[in-house]
This record gives sequence, structure tokens and C-alpha cells, in this order.
Amino acid sequence: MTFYKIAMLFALTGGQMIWAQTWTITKVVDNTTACPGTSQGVFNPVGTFPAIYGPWVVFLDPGDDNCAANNGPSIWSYNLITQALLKLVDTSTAIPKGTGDFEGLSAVGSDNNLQVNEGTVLFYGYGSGYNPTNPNCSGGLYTVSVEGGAVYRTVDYTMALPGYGGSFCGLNTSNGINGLMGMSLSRG
Amino acid sequence: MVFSAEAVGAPSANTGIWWAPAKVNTTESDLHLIADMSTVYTSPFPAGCSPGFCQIIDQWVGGFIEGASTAFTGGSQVGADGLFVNSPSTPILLSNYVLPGDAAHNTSYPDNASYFSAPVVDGDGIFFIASDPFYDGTCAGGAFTGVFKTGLSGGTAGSILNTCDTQPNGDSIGANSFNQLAANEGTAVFPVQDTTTGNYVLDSYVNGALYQVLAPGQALPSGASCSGAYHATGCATSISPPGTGSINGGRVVFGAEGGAYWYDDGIYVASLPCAVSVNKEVSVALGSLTYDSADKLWLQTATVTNSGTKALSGPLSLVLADLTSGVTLENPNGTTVCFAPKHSSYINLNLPAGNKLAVGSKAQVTLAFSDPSDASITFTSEVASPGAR
Repeated sequence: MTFYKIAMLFALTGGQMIWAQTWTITKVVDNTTACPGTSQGVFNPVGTFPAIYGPWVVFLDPGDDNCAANNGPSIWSYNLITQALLKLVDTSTAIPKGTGDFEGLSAVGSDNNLQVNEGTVLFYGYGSGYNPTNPNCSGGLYTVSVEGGAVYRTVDYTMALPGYGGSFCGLNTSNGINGLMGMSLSRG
Repeated sequence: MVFSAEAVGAPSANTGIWWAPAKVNTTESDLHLIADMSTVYTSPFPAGCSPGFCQIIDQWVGGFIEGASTAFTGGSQVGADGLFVNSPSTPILLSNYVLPGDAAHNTSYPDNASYFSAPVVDGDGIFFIASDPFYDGTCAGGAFTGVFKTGLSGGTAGSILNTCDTQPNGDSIGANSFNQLAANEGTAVFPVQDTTTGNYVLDSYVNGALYQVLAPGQALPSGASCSGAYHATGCATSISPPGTGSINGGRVVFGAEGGAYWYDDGIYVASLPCAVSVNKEVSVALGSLTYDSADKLWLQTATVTNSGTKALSGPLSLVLADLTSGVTLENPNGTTVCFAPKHSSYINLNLPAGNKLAVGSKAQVTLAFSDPSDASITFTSEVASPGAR
């Protein structure tokens, strides 16, 4: 990893504001970083929806870069301490409580984020299944450990939601960034 | 975890906020409603309204959970809007609240001129984005929006940065600023439109001070000397603002494009200077362990006292160094990366208003441990100063 410290100091311009740069920026991956476990893949970190918790950075690789099964999308974790990259989910991963493998993966909110909390990653995925009365409703929310392993269903299109009614159709992204998610294990 | 979703199959399309456990394969009985279109909050607007004629809030979006607090927003077709914590019946801020920095509300819409979005719970505070859709002032060409912070009980808020402020280089802030927000441990990161350069820069608020994280034309960690070059190897061309999951423990992760041909895309982590131990200035007292059979957790109170000679600024964290193998702190705020020993769980202290621990003052937290092997629970207490964990 390359480290570079920005040291620009701006003038104080009134009020109580102090404006100086104190952040040190580190590269995680770029489009020259080889995908582990592949012979010719390099990451394509466009629209990567990264998230961070402790040493774990989680990101979505959109595919078309020979990094994952079927040249499709994949979700990876990177450990800032060990600098290890690990593929967590791709289109060869079976959909828990679903049919077949994931065909698409994405972030969980319209603020374009994956979520990671206490070592658990939250993502949106879909396969070939869909609501027979509304084909636009498919997929669900799933969790996986930053260290890989089993994928769990949190909610999917087959499940009725309590309250007014209806089954899960997708994330509410109709109102700008308000589709954002939070996750905590304190209620689970 | 909390999710904001759309549902189909009911008499009409439904949107709302629900919560569900993580790390298990759920069934429908695991899904719990927070609020959906069957949930109605009746606002006091317009002032003096009679029952049945008051504006209602029944459109629920967002949702951010930290610990025992879940923040979300509610809106309506006719203008009432609000910021809520835990319950859709108790707003902590409503749309008649005049945001700090905003002009007086338009007299035609006095009760509907503050809109809230993207609330992020951070300890005993909430960062959020808000705007005045009926702004009559001159800032940002007639647009008022910004990042604000309030307490879990709301009532009032403070401005972090808004479109009536200027950037320290004298440039004004554009109307398209603040469309995303990440916040954690007293630090908030958000995009700002610099109207002079036209760039979207990534700015931050760190415990009361404003800092720039990165702007187009500045170097990414390649060691390049950019000197403001936009299209050069190792120089940022554009920065993707981080979202709610992109900040933790004094680190922010984001995507950026750069390079000579735009497409040198990468993922980067910006880190604050690493925290240091303030153990010499505090004492830590641990209570006895008690077993919560319902949750199968061992609970222990930790009391941190400022035994030094000066107030300590927050955030302060209790780091559990060398915790017994097999024992897990189940309510951590994070895991250390640079603060030794690395990979230790830590929990943030709830400090009094002002985010300082005065001399002689105490801060108390409850530690919750899982201990499947019934081993003796031991650790070394370290208290970390502000900074990256």
C-alpha cells in the first residue's frame, strides 16, 4: 500500500472554523490491482460502494474484469491490518432460501453503500426468481461475514412484510438518499 | 438491521421501514415493523388545526440504527416533515423548526419549510441533512441546505456547514452540496460543491473543526505531485462521496477517479491521526460480572474517571486489550487498526454535553460479553484519545 499525506493548510476565514487537512489517504485497490485467485483479472472499482468497519473494507466489484465467476459482479473484503483480499460472494454463490445462484449484486441503499457492522456485511442480491404477480419484484437483502462463509437471508421477495401488508419488492430508493440503511446487531 | 423498502400485494403500494435480525436465515416472523403507510403521525400543522384537518405524516423513509437508537424521517403529501428516533409518534424535529443559518420561513409555508434526510445516529447525537424548500434568502442562488447535528431528544440543532457558509478559501458553497452524509464518532464527511472551481470536494467535520479530505486536482496516494492537475497520473479527477457505511473508527472509505485518462479508478481510505492512550490521565473501575440469562450475555460496568489535571476531549474509547480468547464483546463500536494492540474491540464513552470529560468526572459504559466456553473474562483497559482507532 502506498501512503501519502496531504499537508495543505488553508487560511482561517472567520467564525470558529479551522480548515486544515489532517487526513492520510491510503489506497485499497485500483484498476491495477490483481484479483486474488485469478490469472488475469484486475479490479474494476467503478461504482464500488465501499464500506468500512474496523480493519475491514468491503466493496463490490461490478464485473467484466475476470475477477469472479461468469465474469460477473462480486463482493470482496480487504483487511487493513493483514492487507488480505477475500472474495465473499459472486454469481456462483447459492442464494440462501432461494433458487439457484446470485445473478446480480448491489449495494443496499441509494446512497450507494454496502454496509458492514461488527464483521457482518449487508448486501442486495437477486437471482432468477421473482414475484409472479409483479416481475419487477425480485431479490433480497443478505448478510455474510467479512471472513466469508455462509450467506444468510434477511428478507427477500417471497416474504410478507408486517404492517399495511404486501411482500418485499425492493429497497425504497424513491426519495434520494433516504433509502439508506443502518445495521446493528443490538436488536438481533 | 433496519431496512427501508417497498412492498407490493397490499391494497396499494406500500413503503416503510422494518427491522430484522442479521446473521440468521429469517422467516416472516422475524420481520418487524417500525413504520409504514398504515402508521400515521398527526402533526400540529397548520397551527390551531382541528382534529381531522391537521397535516399527517405517513411516508417513512431512511432508517439508521446504532445501539438502541434508530433514526428515520417521515414526510407527507402536503408538506409536514419530521425527524424521528425509535418511534413514529414522537418527532424530535418538525418542519416548522427554523434550521440554524436559515432565513425566517416563508410566510406561506411556515410549518413546512424544513425537510430532513439521511439521519445518522452517532452516540448520543444525530447528524442529518436538511433543507428549506421555500427558502427566501440569497445563499447558493436561493437554496438553503446543509449538514446539522442534534441530540437524541432533538428540540434544537446546530449547523455543521450549510450553503450560507463559505469555504475558507473564500469560495461559496453551491446548491448541490450535502447530498450524502457519513458520520461516526464525532466525525462527519460530506460532499461540497465549490461554486468557483465547480468541483465537488470531500469535506469533513471532526469534533468541532472543519477539514478538507480531498479535492479534485489533489494527489491520491501514488506520491505524485499534482499541483492542481486534474488529469495526471496519481491525481484525483472526481471523488465519489461516501455513504452511511463508509466511516468507522476515524477512517473513511471512498471511491475516486483520476489519472491521465479519467479511468484510473480506485478505492481509498482516509485516516485521521491515530489515537493515543490517555491511561495516565484516567482511572478505570470495573464492576462485577452479572449474567443475563435471557440474552446469554455477561454484563459488566466500566467507569472511567478523569484523574488528571485537565479536561479530556472526546471521543474517548475504552479499548479491551488482550480480551480472553473465545470471549467476544457483543456491543463494540469498532475494532482497532492502529491503536495497539491491533484488532482489539473498543466501546465509546458517553461524554457529557460539550464532549469533554472534566477533571474528576466519570463516564460509564456497560460491557456485554458472550463467553460460550465459560472462560474467565479478563482484559486490559486502555482509554484511547480522539483519532483513528
